[in-house]
Amino acid sequence: MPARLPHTPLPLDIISRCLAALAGGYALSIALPLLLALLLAVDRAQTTLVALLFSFTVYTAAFLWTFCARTHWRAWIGLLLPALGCGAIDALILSLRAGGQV
Amino acid sequence: MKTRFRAAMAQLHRWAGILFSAMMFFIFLTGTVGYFHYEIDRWMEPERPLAMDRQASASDPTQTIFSAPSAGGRITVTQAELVELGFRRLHALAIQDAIWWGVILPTGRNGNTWIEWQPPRRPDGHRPERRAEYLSFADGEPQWIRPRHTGGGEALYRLHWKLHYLPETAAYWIVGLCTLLMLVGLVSGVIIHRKIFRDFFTLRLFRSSRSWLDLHNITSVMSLPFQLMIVYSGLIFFAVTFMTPIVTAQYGEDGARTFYREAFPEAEAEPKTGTPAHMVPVVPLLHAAQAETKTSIGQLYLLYPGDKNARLSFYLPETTPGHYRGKPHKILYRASTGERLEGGNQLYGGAASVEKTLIALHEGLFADWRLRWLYIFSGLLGVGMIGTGAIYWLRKRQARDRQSFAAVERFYAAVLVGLPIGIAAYFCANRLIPAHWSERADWEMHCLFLAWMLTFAYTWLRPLERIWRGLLLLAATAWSLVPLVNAVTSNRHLGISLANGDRVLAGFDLSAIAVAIAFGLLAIYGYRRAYRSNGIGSRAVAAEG
Repeated sequence: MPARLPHTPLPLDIISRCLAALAGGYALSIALPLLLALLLAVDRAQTTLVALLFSFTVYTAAFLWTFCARTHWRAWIGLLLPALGCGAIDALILSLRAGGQV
Repeated sequence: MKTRFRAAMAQLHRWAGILFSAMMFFIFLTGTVGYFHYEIDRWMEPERPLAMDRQASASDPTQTIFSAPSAGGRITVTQAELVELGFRRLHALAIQDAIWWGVILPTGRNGNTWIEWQPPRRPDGHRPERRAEYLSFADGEPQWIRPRHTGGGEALYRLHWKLHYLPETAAYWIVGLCTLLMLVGLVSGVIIHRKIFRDFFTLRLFRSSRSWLDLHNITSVMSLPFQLMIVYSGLIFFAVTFMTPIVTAQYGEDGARTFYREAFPEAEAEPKTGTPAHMVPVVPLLHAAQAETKTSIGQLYLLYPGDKNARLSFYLPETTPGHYRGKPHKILYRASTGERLEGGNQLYGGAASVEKTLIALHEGLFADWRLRWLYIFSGLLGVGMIGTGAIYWLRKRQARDRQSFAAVERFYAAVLVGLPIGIAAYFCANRLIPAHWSERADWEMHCLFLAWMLTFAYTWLRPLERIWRGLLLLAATAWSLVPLVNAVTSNRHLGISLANGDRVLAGFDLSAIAVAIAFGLLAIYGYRRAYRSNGIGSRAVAAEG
């Protein structure tokens, strides 16, 4: 896939990676810890706290990832795909829970 | 067009990094100073009496005895007498509409006995500041003193996340984002240095711009565990603000309050009834609580004073994280009957105790005075890490042409040396602004920023070769002025504090002198050598030769 993409000039590449780290990293550091929280079978206050404590390590890891990915496209994909995946499961669990409560 | 755009972006990139490092320098320095905020409070309220000494008997905590300095030698008072004096004064002041009253006994850090109370909200919803009076035995008789109004050490350490002039939310996001980038910087920095311990023992002082890199590496590695702890735990403060979606997913919109109440359950006090009731004597309850917990209690609070539902809380010192796993945090009594109330335990879950422990580590809550100095030392290493990193960045780019990046050099000089000058100005302003002027606390802080801004003017007006040395000498002068101004304007100077064995007050002045000496030495030796080491001095000499 990356072979077909046009070469990105360095400044744009860096800007893109920075945005990926900030925005993509943020999405992942919400979605992944939240998934963990929803899957953990303890009370919601504890799971929320675990997720909050965990989220900044995910964010930091996301920053490192965006700058070691081979291309900036990969950096985006590597963050957004898992974020969307986790987010979808999060939404599913949350809606199931909301349905179960009614 | 394209090249100009790229050049502009390069400038933006450069100044983003420079502003970030300046920001982190500001956060680290003001935060480090904050580990002494009680001690600074004492110095900045010179009307407060000299420190009381506390002699606790190890076997029986109820036998704590204090000795207070007075004109006719030291006076001995018991804990029970101090508590009774405090509550008698609060009753005499008759501030019945206060939300709470408090009586605080001396510790090694705060040194004094005082009473404090929270005036009720004004009709417009504004919540006034708490008020306090300090107990003095200077004339032999107990006397209550209201010190000058000051921001104190608290305003100084609040700078590191409030940034003073910015709205609270904006400051939160700026500081939070900087902290996150700092964590990324630390982790990626460790990865860069595969040979981190070999680098640690590589010090090429006064040789090249490499010395700045070596200094940067040493300061970072020495304090790395501290830096990781402080930056990560710092982020925890912002967790709910930053990661709101995690909370709202489980608690709905505006669910933060519910979340806090569930995660950190506190027994809710019974509401105020409006029926007045007398209060049972406090001292027997205090003795009972101390016998029960086998600890000496130093903080007593009374919620809804004078009411039938008034509640007495005795706070236990939080010396270990065990307090978050069900050990009592405070002992509660109904003040009108003396009946023991439940709910003083912090029954936090696992994650909540981890969170509380991280926060307490950040604030140094578990630190005694030795560990507190280690906190200060580690914080200063962090300040050094940021400063030397910034100068290394600059010197590497100036290797060919010393005059390039002049604006950056001026900026860095004004940040790195100017901020300590501003802090010295803050302390001097505390002594020089009239004690009874109503807006003095605001102007203390304005003085800090005014003095700091003046150092920017200085660096832009002076020739580039002179600015570092000039600023370092200014900083040395400013810090040596702190104990001098104190000696001229107050009777809490070294002659008195040393003679009375007041370690905190003397420690403040002595620390200011130590800082002044350090800046002086840097100005005389460090800078001259560092300048020559950059290759410019020797090359100039060679050219002349």
